[in-house]
Amino acid sequence: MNKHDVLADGKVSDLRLTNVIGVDIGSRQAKAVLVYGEEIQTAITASGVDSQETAARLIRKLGKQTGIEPRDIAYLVGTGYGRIALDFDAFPSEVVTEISCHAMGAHFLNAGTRTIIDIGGQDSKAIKVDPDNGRVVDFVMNDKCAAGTGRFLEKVAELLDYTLEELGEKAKLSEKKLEISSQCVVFAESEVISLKARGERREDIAAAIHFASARRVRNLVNRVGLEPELVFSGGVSNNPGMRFALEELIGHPIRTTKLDMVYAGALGAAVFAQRYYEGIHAAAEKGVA
Amino acid sequence: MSLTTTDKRLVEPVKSFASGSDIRNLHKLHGQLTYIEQSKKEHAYSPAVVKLYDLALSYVADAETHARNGGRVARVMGPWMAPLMYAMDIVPIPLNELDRSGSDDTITIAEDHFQLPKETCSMVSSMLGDLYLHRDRPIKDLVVFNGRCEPLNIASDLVAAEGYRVHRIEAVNRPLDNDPERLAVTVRFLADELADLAIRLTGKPVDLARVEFEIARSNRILGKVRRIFDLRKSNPLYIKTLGTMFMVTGSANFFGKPEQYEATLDLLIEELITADYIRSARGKIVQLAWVGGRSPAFGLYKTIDDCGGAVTAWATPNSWSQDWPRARNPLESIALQILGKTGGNGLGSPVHRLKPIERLVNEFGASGIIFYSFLGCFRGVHQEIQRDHFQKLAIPSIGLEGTFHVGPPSGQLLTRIRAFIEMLS
Repeated sequence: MNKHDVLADGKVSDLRLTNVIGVDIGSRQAKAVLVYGEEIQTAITASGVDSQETAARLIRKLGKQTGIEPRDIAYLVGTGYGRIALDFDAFPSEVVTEISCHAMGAHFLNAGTRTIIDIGGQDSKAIKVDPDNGRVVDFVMNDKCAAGTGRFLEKVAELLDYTLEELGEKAKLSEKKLEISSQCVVFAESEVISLKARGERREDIAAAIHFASARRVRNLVNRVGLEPELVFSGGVSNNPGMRFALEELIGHPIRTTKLDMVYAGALGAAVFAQRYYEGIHAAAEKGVA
Repeated sequence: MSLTTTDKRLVEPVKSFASGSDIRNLHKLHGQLTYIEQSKKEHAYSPAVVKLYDLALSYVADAETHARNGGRVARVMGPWMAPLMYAMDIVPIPLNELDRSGSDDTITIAEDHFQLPKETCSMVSSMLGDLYLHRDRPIKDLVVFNGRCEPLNIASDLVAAEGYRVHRIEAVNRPLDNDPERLAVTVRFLADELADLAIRLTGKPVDLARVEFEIARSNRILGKVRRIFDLRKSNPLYIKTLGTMFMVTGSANFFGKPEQYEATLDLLIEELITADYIRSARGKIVQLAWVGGRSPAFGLYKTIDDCGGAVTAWATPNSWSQDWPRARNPLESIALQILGKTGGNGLGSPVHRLKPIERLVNEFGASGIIFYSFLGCFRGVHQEIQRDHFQKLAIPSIGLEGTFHVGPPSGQLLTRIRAFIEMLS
């Protein structure tokens, strides 16, 4: 992809360095963004047990796509759940939280972003962003239970005999409003089974589950205070059922971007990689490094 | 039911680790002892900080030896008992001073043996389990302040059946409107309770002159703690976050050795006056205030340092930031301290503590506040009230909830802290 086709207006010149990589190791999926020349290359894979190996796999993938070797990499920033374990010999690297990276990535994809909903495999977050620079102004995380996370949706998809990809699509075909009162994966499971036993349509149950999850996420957004423009990032951002439920409950449209928002964290990490690289060189020029 | 004791973990050798200040090595550090050993190595330049850690580490073991040799030791609730206890030649140990053992067993015991619900505050569950594990050890007296928290009262009832002697101080809270007449009544009531406690513990009234002496000593020590915090303003990383947490903790009960604790503070002051400035590996230092409970997950403090932060202001139940109040009767001084005239402790409405926190934040130049509470503790609600207040003042804050049982901090907690510091950097 050409940077001009993906990044927000005015942001292309801010991402000028070549061969910087952002790697976002989530709890379910690992994503990477490589900036080289005028191009942006992405890669995605399932997160393995070993974060280092997962990152190496992503780098190999990007290498195959672009011909770039590890020795060519100027800087890498790791983010996400598995960032702590990342360390490389072939090139300099740093770690930055996924909160900062999603904010920066969203800013580069939609410069007016002020609020982000980020739903990943194991937690959900609401992040407030300064549209002038993409920095985090405030954030709140829900990790107390699986409700409002990808893991919750995954479990429900299994119960309804849908794939995870189907779950959101099917939810949009709902014709009847059902209530799921429990927010806990374990208890929601028995509620879903009861609804199935009552003969309720799977599409309606799927929609009810998305609305139950979205209610938790709405509370997070209320905590930081919704300010337009709103974007949706993370592994669940591709789920049309969740997107619909969030827009309905929050009463505000979610902006679309030209790059799949599952890559927002990795793109933000690549932006930070450029800044760290420039920081090293600026320090070296001053004789500080 | 067979239970594993935590004791063997106390003597577990400390693992070696690759390098000091790198966030990526954090997962290699587990357990409080490991963090303390790591911090001692980082503070090799400071004999005073190393001594401070040694005092903390030997606290419970030395107190138990003292008890075995016929000395008096009591586990006490709240950070206000030192003057009264030392005046009766009783070594106080805070009820929540666990064995730095990294034990999950304590929670299991609370849930399985005592049948506490899972939702119970993790501090209460841990303390209950810890007391159960120590039931055959020589310290049997527990001094419990009824107003601290109801689940704790229940826990103390439960351990009474395990052979502990539970001594209660009946509760009163500071009146919300600070009405002087009502305050005077509560102070008198509490002072009477303290006088009764002394008789229950020793069989005789406490020597008020000794209490007066101990209050004066506490004030002298608190003055030294404040001096250290003042000196640290211009060199925040000379004593890193974990070390300052121990200094604040020690300011309540002096780790059972008031003279040694005070001498350590003197040494620390001398060191700080002439110390070279310690730079952060991350460049600029983000100064923070820590408000609420102290996390036993020591990795949080290390993360703060490693990410370029430093806690320069602590608003914990230990009211180190001001002297003990003086009254005609020294027991009334203690009562006033319990009631939190200075607003530092955890009693009564959380709004009492807003101004003292504000003072600390301003005085120590904190650019953000970390509010910390334990999972299941009602103080999590206090935290939200306080956070709202500071949000209106445009002072950024973050609310953290952690468990009380000792172990590595969860990844989410570390992410929150790191992201908060990134936000303020």
